[in-house]
Amino acid sequence: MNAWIRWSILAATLIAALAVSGPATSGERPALVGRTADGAEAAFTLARTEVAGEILSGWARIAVTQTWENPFTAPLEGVYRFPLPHDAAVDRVAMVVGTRLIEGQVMERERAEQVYEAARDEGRHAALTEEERPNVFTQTVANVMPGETILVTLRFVMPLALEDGEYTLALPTTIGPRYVPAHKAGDPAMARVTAPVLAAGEDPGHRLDVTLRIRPGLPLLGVHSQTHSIAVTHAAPDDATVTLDPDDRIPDKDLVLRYRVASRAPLAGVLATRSGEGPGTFALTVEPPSPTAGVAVRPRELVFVVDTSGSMMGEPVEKAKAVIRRALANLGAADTFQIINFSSSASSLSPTPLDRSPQNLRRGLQYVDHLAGEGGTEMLAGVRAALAGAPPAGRLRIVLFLTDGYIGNDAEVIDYVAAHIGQARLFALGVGSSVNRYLLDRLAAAGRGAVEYVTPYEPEDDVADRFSARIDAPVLTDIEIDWGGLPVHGISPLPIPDLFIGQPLRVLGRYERAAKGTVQVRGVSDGKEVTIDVPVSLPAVSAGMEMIETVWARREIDRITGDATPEQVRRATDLALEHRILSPWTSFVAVERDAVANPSPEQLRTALAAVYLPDGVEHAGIFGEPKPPALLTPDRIMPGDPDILVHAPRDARRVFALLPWGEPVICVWVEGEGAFMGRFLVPREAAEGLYPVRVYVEHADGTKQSYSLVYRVDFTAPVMELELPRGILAAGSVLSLRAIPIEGVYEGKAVRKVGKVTVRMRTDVKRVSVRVGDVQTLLAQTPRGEAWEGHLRLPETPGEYAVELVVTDFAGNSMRQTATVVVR
Amino acid sequence: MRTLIAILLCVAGQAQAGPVCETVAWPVYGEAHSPDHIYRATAGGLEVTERDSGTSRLLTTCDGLPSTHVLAVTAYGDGAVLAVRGGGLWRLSPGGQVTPVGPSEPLRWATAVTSLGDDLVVGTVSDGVVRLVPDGAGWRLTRPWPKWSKGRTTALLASEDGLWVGRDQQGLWTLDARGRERRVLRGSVQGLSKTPEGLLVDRGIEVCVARGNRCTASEAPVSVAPPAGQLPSNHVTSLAVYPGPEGAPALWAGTFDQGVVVRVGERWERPDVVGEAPRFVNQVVAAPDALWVATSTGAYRLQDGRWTRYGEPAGLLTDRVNGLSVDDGRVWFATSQGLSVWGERGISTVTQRDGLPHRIVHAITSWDGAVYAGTSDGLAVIRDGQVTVLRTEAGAISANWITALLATPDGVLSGTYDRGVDHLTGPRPTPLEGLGPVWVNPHGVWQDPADGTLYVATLGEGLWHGEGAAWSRVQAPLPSNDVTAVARLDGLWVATREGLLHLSEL
Repeated sequence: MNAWIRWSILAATLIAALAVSGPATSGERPALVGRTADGAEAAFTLARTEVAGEILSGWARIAVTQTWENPFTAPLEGVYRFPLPHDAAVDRVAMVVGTRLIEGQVMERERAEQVYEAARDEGRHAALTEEERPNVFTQTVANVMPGETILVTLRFVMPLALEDGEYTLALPTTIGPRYVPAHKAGDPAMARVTAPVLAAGEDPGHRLDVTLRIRPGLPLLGVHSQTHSIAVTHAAPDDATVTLDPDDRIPDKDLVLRYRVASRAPLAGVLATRSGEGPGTFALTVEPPSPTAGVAVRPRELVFVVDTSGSMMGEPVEKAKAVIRRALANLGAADTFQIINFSSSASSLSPTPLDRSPQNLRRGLQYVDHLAGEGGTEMLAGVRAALAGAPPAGRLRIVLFLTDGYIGNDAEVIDYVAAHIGQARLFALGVGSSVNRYLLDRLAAAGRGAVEYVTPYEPEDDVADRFSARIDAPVLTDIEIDWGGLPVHGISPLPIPDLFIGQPLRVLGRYERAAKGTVQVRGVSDGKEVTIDVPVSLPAVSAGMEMIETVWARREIDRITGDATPEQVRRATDLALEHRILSPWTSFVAVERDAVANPSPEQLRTALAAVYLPDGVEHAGIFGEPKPPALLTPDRIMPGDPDILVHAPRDARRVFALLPWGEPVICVWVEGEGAFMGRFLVPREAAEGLYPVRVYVEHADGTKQSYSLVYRVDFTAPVMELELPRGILAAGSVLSLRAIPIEGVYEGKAVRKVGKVTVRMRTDVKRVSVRVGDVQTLLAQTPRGEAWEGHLRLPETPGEYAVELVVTDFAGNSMRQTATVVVR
Repeated sequence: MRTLIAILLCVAGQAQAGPVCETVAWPVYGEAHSPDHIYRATAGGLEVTERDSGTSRLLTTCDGLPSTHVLAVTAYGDGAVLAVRGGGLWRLSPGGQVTPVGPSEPLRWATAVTSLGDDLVVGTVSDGVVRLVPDGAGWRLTRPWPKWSKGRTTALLASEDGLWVGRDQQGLWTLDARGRERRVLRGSVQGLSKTPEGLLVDRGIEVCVARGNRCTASEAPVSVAPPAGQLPSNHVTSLAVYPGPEGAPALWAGTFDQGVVVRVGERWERPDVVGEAPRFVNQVVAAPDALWVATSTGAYRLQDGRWTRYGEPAGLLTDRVNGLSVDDGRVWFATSQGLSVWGERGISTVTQRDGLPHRIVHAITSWDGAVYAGTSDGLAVIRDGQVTVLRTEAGAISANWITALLATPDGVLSGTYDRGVDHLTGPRPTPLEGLGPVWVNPHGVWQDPADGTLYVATLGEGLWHGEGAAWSRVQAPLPSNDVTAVARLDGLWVATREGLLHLSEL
């Protein structure tokens, strides 16, 4: 490989690793463990992930089987960081080597590590499963021999989300790169929540297989997914199996599966499990009655907080912007609004919230238009800005927080919201294909609000409208449950959160013995007390729903977060051991005791498995644009003075460029650019066309490299013609505008013929605008590319008006065409 | 039209009554030898050394050359033929007369020239190699070499060994015994010279000696730094008068890519800057208590003998500072990401989100309580925190790309990229009609504090002065018609992209 190429790839990788987390890095380079049998260097990834499970009455039991293959020539210790739903309770891990199945044992985390390391160092097959966050786990497998395949199966149970009568199962499949703020840089836990990411476009073939059987006990309605192409086969009206389309199996986005059941009677019921000895566990679900329509809505201060960090670049931030635009349109007459965006720091639309005057709304929309993803994710800065101060008396502050949640300091942000939410409410909106749902759910809970998710594959208007409906409708607050003397304890969650329209109450708890009674759920809605009576039967023995007990234990453990006392940790550890579940303090370890796989454990090579970047997240947003060895900015210019940037090592002895006429441009190291920089003048007398620039680098070790650049001198403006309707136009009416390219618009190969216009691959058009009086609008290229179209509202005052078309190209050349319209 | 120019032989830089061109003879593009002279083509003019006396003269536009930027030279007859950047071929006679050689096209971008008997062989930037044959009073252009009929020519050398042609990345070529083109070396060739060692080939970053189809590495130096004590670059972007190291008013010059220098006596000195020194200077501004330098790597302040750099860490929107303005205790930085304002309450910003029409701000000034910011796409007027945008679409200004702004007692003058200068006194600016649609260089509008005369520095059309409808072009022999700045100190100093001119008076 050419040394220059090698250096630039290495640099790009290093830059990528640093850029993951901004000030501090939690990113890790994909480990190139060596060469495959055919001599190629490759990143290590899993071969396959299989998801199989069953959904019963709103609860799921799912097994995830990871296929580990070692394609390299050395024995492998693979480390794979992967996601699971944050409310999933992992209660079984097993390793399959050949035909041998080795069950994992749950133990205290430190002890499990010791057992694993001892087995690894003896050359035995071993698997260690650890929890890093409620939704991020690490699987480590030791002594996978070259060419060998090992399977690791994790089983978990979880409740499905239920809202508006629809059940939702969301299974994450990849981990988005997490940003770690500078003050958390030294925290080793931060390095354990992210995985190395495959390069843009790289596909080593890791695929997902899904087989999920749904048996809700009632006829199924509308099993569907907006994230994946699925096949649904029905064995019976209440029994369906879901599989993935073979072309939609890359693990780079959450699998979100939704269904309804054929019953719209209000839900009110209990599921229970008890073996007959000791306490049982129950789950109580109550759907409150729909609130009365037409209630008065208290004036609100709506604060939109949008994450504009690099991971939101492109599709996600556009989705978030679309939601805000829609939500702005839904504002109430008495509402005020504020828009805050945060990346490396936070900024706001205005120092103070604005009323919803047309002028302010326009200002807000303009602000939204300019938002783009770039930089770090200082989420705490965004949260602080949103919760700073207090709204005026009588006005309720409602925060809509839009983010993908790719941060490492989840707990810090959640704790801040919990401590500072006051009387405000925070609604979380997860935006993207693989959102950090743990963070979003917890933010909403801490903010006494609700959570929504919008993927790139579904319309944002529904989400925005649902948010508006939620904040318009009264909330069921101050919820208490009178258990009517039933022998229950260990109720979770406590306190019971407020319920928004469409949300049922779901409570888990323990009971000591069989009992019957009526539970009374009380709350306040729109100032009135609401009471719901629920008959409850807690059986002496009940089998088939043991997963409820596991999930209850998991929730109990999850309540211990942040700065837990030693006593709390002890209790959580005991609970996890008792229920055989994974937790921050307990891990699963499986060791093959019968044989030694690797007779030379000292040759073991460790590799961190690379994962796919979440679908829709732009590689450049996280890692920055890959830096070419040298570049010209701008490279399409009118006569002027472009820069040459050369990404050579800082200690290079000499860097310079030769212009086409032989003039040297000495480039110097510029700290702010992190590159060598030179600039030169394109003389006014230069003819239009392409010009080569040769860049030379002499490295510190004396090696020399050269690189070619090309710039285009362009001082001819594109020409377009504006089509206008003939005759007299109505004052205040909307004018349809269409600009047709005449010359200097298209470049490259022809791609299609549309009417008389031959559309080519590229256009040299940066901006097309039309102005009538004081009103200006931008025209956009039509989908078929043959014209630029837009609309503009004509003045209300009759008269003759000049219509001016201005077309500007990428070099800054512009043309103007003026016509006159008569408005009556 | 190509004209005959009479050379005034003088030594550049020496004090004399007329206009003085001050250029630096660097970089050196090539050398040619005649029995009496050694000619060196440089970016600062044609250096002519008399072999007998050893004395050198640097011929510039002040001496009648059509351009100071000489890309190539060859001895021809009793004199020389030279190629100037973008200006074609010229013949210098022993008597000092300069006459054009050959047709404008394709010779306008000639990059190499060598004499072959009575003929001239000329290499161009993209049109290959041509041969010029004397034809009566003129020249006949031929293209005898099909393989060299296109592409870039970087070097030509005719010697007793034959004709050698450097063709950029296409290698070194010569003619075989049958007069056909033959490549002898592959790879980059940027220069050729004949030495006792053999044919010295400049590969771009290294030098080798060609022998047959091999090229042996040579230790010969491939470039030298600009000579000390002279301008570090001919491309001067800005001038200002501010106390120098000795405390007296001195001329400060900012250069395009070689930093800022101050004139001390007859020498130019680089200031002693701790840390990253200013390099790519866009504007030098003398404020009452400090000298400010706007550069593409930050803004620099010289105050009480100490330099301080201000960049992104200090709160600027970006290190790319295109210009600045100092008023009433505030410093306004025109950057490529908007405006940064340094006032009593630290640094604040004005960006597109606040209403700027474009992120790139080229020029800034304040007048009558308002701040005027010239951008790539319109002029912003900031008054009481409110931003009003003036653009061509509304007929408010002549061009949206604003390159220069100057506050005068009568209003603000707004220089545009290619549509002259507008005079802004109210909501409807008026163009300076007597000036015409000149291309105004960055910060190229200046008012002489001595007599109030306005000057406009243009890209390609020289320097203009005047007022109202009465404007005229300065007729002095500028080093280049691409003028960037003007300053007054012991006469008038005119900065161009190819050197300085010092005039006692217009």
